Amino acid sequence: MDIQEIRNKAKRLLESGEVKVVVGYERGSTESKSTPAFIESPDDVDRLIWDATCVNNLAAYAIQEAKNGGVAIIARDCDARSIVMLVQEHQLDKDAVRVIEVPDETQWADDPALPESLEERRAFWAKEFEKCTRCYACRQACPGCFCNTCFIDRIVPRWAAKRAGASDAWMFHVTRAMHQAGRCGDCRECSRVCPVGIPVHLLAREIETFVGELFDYKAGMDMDADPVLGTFTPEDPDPNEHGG
Amino acid sequence: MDKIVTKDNMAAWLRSLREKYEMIGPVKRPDGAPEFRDIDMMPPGIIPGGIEVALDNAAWLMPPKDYLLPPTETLFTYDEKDQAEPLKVPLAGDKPRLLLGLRACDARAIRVLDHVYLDGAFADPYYAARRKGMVMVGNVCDEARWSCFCTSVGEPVEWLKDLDAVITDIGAGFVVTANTPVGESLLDSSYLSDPSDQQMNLKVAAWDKLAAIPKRPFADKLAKDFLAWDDPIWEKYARKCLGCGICSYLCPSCSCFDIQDERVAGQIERFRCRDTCQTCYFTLMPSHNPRPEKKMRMRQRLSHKFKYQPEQFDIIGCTGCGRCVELCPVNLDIRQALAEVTPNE
Repeated sequence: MDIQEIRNKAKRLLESGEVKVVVGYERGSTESKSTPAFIESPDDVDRLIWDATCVNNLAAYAIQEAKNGGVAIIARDCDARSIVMLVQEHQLDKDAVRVIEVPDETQWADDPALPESLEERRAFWAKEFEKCTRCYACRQACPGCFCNTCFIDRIVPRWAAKRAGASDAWMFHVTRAMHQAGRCGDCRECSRVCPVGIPVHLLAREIETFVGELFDYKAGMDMDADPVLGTFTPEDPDPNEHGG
Repeated sequence: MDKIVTKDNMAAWLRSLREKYEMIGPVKRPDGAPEFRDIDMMPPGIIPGGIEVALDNAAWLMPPKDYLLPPTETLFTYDEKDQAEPLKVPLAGDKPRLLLGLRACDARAIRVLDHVYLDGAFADPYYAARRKGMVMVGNVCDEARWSCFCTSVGEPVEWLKDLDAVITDIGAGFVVTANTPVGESLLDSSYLSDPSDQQMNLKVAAWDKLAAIPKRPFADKLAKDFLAWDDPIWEKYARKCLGCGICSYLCPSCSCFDIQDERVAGQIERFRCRDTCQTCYFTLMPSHNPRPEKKMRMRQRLSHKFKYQPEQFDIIGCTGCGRCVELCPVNLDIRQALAEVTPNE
């Protein structure tokens, strides 16, 4: 996509007063990195770039920026799904947000192959969670993690110790993944930001697979749809009988 | 004193040191990421003899503080039912430890940690036990990473001279330089021999290369003179901060911890674990977080390293290792913030 097209759209939105800020990408502190840019003046749109280094899901800033007035966010398909999800979840006023769509040209890394048997999978994740530093970058970068207080940070009651090692990290990652049901647009920011390379996104993706199969629901596709975790009918399938 | 050890003899020499020392160093995990750990526990690897020690600049991800301040450390345990029994306090063992593979910046970071944990009336007994009698062996970086800025916050070559011994990779082998009597005792081995003039020249060239890492605009100026409480840059940089703990958990000199209690099957354990001023949950346990806004936390991170620690200990708390620069998910680069507050002359 032509960068000029993005800049023109940003300029129009700012000039018309439709939004107060455009969240996009600008060159980072080295050629191989971009960094989020908060453009507030039509004169600054030339700072915006669009290339292979633009990988962040900028929807992570949607709630913060919408508080100050209208916000336009440069978004790939998966990032736009985060924005739609936030509107569905009543975290974001749909009139306060605009999306500047960009094609998904991300060079996604290959996913590690998950073992077939449950025992081997358990061993796979135990090894991965052993590396976890509990920095919570996965959560902080995730637009779906919009809770004001995460369960893992609660002191009373405390759900898990902030201990290094697989056991308590397991509690954190698996619970976080469960809370992503119907919220994850597969942007893979959680894995991208992880300093120790845990493929965290595979957990939420697995949950989304169940959600799709059981409830015929895909996260962030329809602003007017009720979120899957926020609805209940007596006819709902029982995940226990799913065999997963 | 300088000696040379061939690449073939390196593993044998390190093995011989293990008779006297508990060896801790950057070893490569199966996924390639190096971490500081007990070398004895490592599987066979590239250095013949069963140790895959990462003595190159790739060994940067995990800082050595993981050994001095483990991510989780038991402070004491006691039996819930039998409270008359004394507390069980696990302090480090008797065998002296040798920390291997310290880059200049990481060696310097241990000096920063020493000030925090050992200075004054309140020396931390757990840190002190791990630190006591510890031998520090460093190595000279082969290449600067894009994120490195050690020369902008000090003199890495001088930091290396602060170590007991330094290993310099000269291609065909390693020159080992002893700076202290303990360092000299390490070199007293049949696996090492006297280096030639040419080998010494290669060593000097490697040290010169380290000293020649280009300086940033803020180098040689003390940021503490320029960091202002109300500077608008705090807000500017905080805006893109996601509020994760990467910069502080992987910082070699960040030292804050949280204390938690846990009860499992009648055994009470008190342990400490990492904590960071970069989250809204910092210091909630006594009452509240005095830094409710992101900009205040951003100010704290830079001011602590570049203003408060220089005032408190006469040492810059940042060693320019570049981990926070390279690992920040949003490329929030403290070098840019420092350059912005430092006036251009």
